[in-house]
Amino acid sequence: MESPYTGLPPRAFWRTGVSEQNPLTVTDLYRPKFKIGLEDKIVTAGSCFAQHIANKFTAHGYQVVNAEPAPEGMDAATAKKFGYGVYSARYGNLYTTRQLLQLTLESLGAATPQHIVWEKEGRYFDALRPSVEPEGLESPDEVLLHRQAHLNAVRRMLRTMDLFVYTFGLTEAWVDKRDGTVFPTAPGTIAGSFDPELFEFKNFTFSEVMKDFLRFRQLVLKRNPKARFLVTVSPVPLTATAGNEHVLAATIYSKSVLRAVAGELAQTLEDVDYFPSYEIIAAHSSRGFFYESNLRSVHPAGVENVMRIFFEAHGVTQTQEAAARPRRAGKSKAAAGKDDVVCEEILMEAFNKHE
Amino acid sequence: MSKQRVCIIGNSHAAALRVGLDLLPELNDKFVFDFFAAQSDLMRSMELVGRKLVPTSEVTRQRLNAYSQGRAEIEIDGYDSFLIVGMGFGIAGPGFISPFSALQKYQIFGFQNTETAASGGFISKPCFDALTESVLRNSTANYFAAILRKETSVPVFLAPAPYPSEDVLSAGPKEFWLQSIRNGAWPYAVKVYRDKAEKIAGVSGCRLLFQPAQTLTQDSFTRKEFSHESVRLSEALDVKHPPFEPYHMNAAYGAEMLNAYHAMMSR
Repeated sequence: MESPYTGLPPRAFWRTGVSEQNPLTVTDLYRPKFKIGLEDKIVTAGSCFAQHIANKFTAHGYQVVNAEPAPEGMDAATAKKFGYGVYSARYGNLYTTRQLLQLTLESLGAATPQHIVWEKEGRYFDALRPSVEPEGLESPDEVLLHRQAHLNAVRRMLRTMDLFVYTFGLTEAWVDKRDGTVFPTAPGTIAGSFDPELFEFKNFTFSEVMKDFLRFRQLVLKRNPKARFLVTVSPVPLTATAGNEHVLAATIYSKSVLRAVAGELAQTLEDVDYFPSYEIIAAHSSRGFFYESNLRSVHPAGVENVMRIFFEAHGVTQTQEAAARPRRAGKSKAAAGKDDVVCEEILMEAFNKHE
Repeated sequence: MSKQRVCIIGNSHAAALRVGLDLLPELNDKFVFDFFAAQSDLMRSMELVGRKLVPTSEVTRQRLNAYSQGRAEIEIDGYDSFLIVGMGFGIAGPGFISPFSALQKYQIFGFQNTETAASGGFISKPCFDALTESVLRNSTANYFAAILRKETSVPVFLAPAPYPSEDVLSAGPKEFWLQSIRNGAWPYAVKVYRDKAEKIAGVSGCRLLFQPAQTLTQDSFTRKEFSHESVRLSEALDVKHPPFEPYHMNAAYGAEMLNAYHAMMSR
């Protein structure tokens, strides 16, 4: 009997698929499960790395949904400061799948997280998206009113989108013990204060992340049967871990869990595709080329390479990209660059007092 | 004594000053005014080439030629001062993005207005403040201010678009205006606008020429005698705006602005 490896393409073998490839020109690394059309309404969400993806989609002429556009006349830098245009709605970074599920349930009226207004110096913040109003609001009532308008936008967005692009970010989170609400950042980082009686550390497991995403998908498909999902894993390591392990081990655990979840989703569900941005950046075959000197931030060349592979696989030609340029010239978009993303997680470094 | 040469660069609001000059013949003894005006979005298509501001679009060139006595290029040397008028630097007006247009579309918590569009959602005060600053900073007026401040050492004045006529309180969408005054949104917007205008002018190194107090009523509306019979920017400046056009002002207003400019230059 012939070996089952006989006749497999070059991509199936490490030598021809990896070690003899230049990371900047590697091809056939990704074969899309389904086509993404230029007319598809694409929603983006997830961790900081997802912001790069959103920018590139727009630059290539795709229709990235903006359910909460910035007020007309607001320039790109100001808009970004207030969370406009960072993702498809002003939810901020959804680092964990639990946050994604929580937001979806809340937008559908199926859950009402309590204790979500944090205070700092007389100003009030939406604890579930503290970065979108950097100066805070005047009262808890105002926070809740703004939040309801946001949830309305999220609900409409989920109902009408064609493709949901989610970048899994973290497994670590902080949870309110009283009702299980999960936050994008620890209390006390941007606002609020940390009380160990009220908040606890949580490191989500494979089964928990899987269950959360499947539930999210179910909620979406019930209301929007045509929706499809494209998942990726952020290659950005943890800034800090509150678990007992070294941050390197904690990072690998986190990324391993998330990669395994993403892989199983794509293997078992027709409407979920996995794009290997994590491997492109983080695998040792890239020799760390695509990280900045801090070995954490992704260099713009890395983002470019990731998206080159993606768009080539989807048959987006350079002509198509060039044709999209006049359209994006009129839009207020922040240019890609070093540390160009909105990232609360990076704030954890402020608590690192070691030399 | 030689006359001072003044370069006025603006949009439709420059028309008021142009016809206002006809009411102040004595100013012609002291000043030579050169007017360059076209629609705001067309004026944005001008660039500094050497020591001239030149149009980069043919439409801009044609309109400038038509409305500016056959001149489409502005040599920036040789003037004793520049007066930049309107061009998106203002609180309200038709067809340009302004703090007022944000109030029409978004609710500010505590200033709810039943006449505001239901679909716009909410905007926080810090966000409204940042929006106001963004609008003024990115206005065509400030674009010119930055160029002129960098390239010349003569005084550069920024004359914002006028406050809307008090007619808005008795006609048209008056309910929106009345609620905005009652609930505090308009006074808040005016305060933010003034603060941000001062800030942007300061950063640009320009002097603000707000309309004089005698043209105002209730602090932030232009008296109706200054808005009636306003003229459109046109070749002969002989086309009037419709009867209810609360954002453009007339010759009397233009004269007040020129007198204010004269007073500032005399200090």
